[in-house]
Amino acid sequence: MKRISISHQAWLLSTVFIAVLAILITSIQLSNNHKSETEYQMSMLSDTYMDVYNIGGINALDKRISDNFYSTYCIIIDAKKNILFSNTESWHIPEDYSVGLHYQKLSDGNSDYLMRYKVNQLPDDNLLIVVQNVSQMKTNHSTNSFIIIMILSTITLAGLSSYLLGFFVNKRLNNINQICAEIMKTGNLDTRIPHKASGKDFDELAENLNLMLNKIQNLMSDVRQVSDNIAHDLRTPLTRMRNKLELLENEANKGNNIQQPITDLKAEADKLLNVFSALLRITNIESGQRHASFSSVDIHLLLNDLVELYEPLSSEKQQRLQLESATSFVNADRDLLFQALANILDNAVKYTQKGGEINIVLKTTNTEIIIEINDNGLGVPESETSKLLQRFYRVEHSRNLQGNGLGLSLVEAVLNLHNGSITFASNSPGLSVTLNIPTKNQRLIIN
Amino acid sequence: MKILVIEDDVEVSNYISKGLKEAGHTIDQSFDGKDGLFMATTESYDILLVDRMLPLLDGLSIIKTIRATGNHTPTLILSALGDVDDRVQGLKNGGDDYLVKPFAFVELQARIDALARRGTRGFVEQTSLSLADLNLDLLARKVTRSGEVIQLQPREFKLLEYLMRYKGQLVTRTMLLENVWDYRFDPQTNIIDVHISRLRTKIDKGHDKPLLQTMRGAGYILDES
Repeated sequence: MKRISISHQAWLLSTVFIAVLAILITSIQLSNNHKSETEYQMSMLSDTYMDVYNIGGINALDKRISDNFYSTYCIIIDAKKNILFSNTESWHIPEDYSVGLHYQKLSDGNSDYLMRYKVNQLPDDNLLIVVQNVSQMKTNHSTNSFIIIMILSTITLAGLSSYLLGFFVNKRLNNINQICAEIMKTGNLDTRIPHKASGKDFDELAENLNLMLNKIQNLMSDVRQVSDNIAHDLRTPLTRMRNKLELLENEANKGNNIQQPITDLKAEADKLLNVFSALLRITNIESGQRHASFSSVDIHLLLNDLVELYEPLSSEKQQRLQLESATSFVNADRDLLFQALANILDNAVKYTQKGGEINIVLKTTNTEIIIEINDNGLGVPESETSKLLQRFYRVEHSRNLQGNGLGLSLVEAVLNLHNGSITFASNSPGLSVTLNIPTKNQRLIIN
Repeated sequence: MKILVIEDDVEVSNYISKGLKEAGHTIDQSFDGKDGLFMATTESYDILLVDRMLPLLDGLSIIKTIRATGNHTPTLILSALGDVDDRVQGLKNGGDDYLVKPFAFVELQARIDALARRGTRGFVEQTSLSLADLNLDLLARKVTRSGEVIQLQPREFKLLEYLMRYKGQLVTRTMLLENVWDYRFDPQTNIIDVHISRLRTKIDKGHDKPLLQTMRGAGYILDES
């Protein structure tokens, strides 16, 4: 059996619900209305009859009742229960004739009746009794059918409108479904779900789905670019290795000493292995599953160690390496943070000419630490700063220098792990790298 | 030395064994966890080399089990899992050192030698270290060569101390970074070389016999040449 769609289920359910509700409410309303209405009728009649009797006596009453159109009887008795007036034969004097409203069951052998009567005290001590046969009483037919028509049309209207609603909901859902299925089938991520800018329900859904498609598309192109870069950047060293092997083969055939080519080959292979390790490391850090190694790290000590480690290298180039910092703590992975800072400082030393200047400044606010690494070296053209974090990207003038273009990608991965950020600016001349790291790292709570 | 290599990759195992045999060690090979544990507990070895991911029983379980029996044979964990978390886990479970695959053979050799030395000699009681006419007073933190006092920065002192402890042995750059600088990271340029050449200037300059040698592509050795 074909399953009914949710919108149709909703339609069916709401129709049934409305129908039940309508029937319940009308039946309750009807019985209530009817009862109070007839009681009111009775007291009105009683008042009228009494007025007529008071003015014109029994004769006037008799005359009045003959053009009475209510199915109501009237009886007048004196204090001794003698009937002075009656327009019914089928009814006799009740046992209870105290003033007020009474009910009495009667039987004529064939069927039972329920009589309602109201006893009224007349000024001349006679009693006026108004009687109605309640069991025979039926609701007014015209009122009844009107109500039934009302109920039926309400149900029909409700059903129709909810069906229409369901139809449109279904139509839009089908539309979205179809586009999703199409994207999955063709793999074409350029398709988008059309929507209006109303920002309501389905438009919001469509918009979010479109945003998701955008994100997927970006990720896909990132992956494609990275693998393109990997292929390109690994082909070069592999080609070099192959050439060196050829050379080695020649030398060996000639019986020459092959120690040097072998050493070179090993170095080349190590370089390749390093690239792979670096890539794996970045992926590993990006997967964000390294919480165990988070601890409170004195960033001041870390920076001092870093400067001490790089000081001999920069003093070989007669650079001035200065650090301006004070003790402050941050929740971090100590080794990774050191690695990230070392990568940046390494670049600074590498791309700053002899006699240049490198300044490291640590600033703290209530919520974060800010590390600035400024140099007055070669710098990076403004147009290229956005590409610095891309894997394998290298600034044109650096291509002949040692490096694999993965250093800053790793820095970014480390900062993301710490919920931090990295920004580049021109130091005119030179480059200014700013790291922002929140001091209270959410990830620490996991430990 | 007698070394047990527990490694399921036959090629890697043979490569390690061949190299170590050439270096004069006796090697036993085991290719799965159960067999490895059996051999480690029934025979006596100087060093255990244990891969982490093994068939039948993983490397960490082997180490935990033998440690539980009171066996303190120095153990080097070999693993393709190189995360800090993985290292910490490995060392917590009783491993003495951790080497991430792929590794250079010199690195493995240097670490095995370091482990062997750690196993036989206690460092704690030593108050001075010496090599030829170079003397290092650990209490006064004073370095002399041929009686002449050499002024060293604290880090240089630590570097020299480490090299002296493993004198005559190859010490790799990673070993120095981990033990002298206490950071596990990969420097992009060879900054350790610069530190070593500075130290070399201080201890060897003006002396006939240079003590600190660089082994190209491998590391450094402090020894009488």
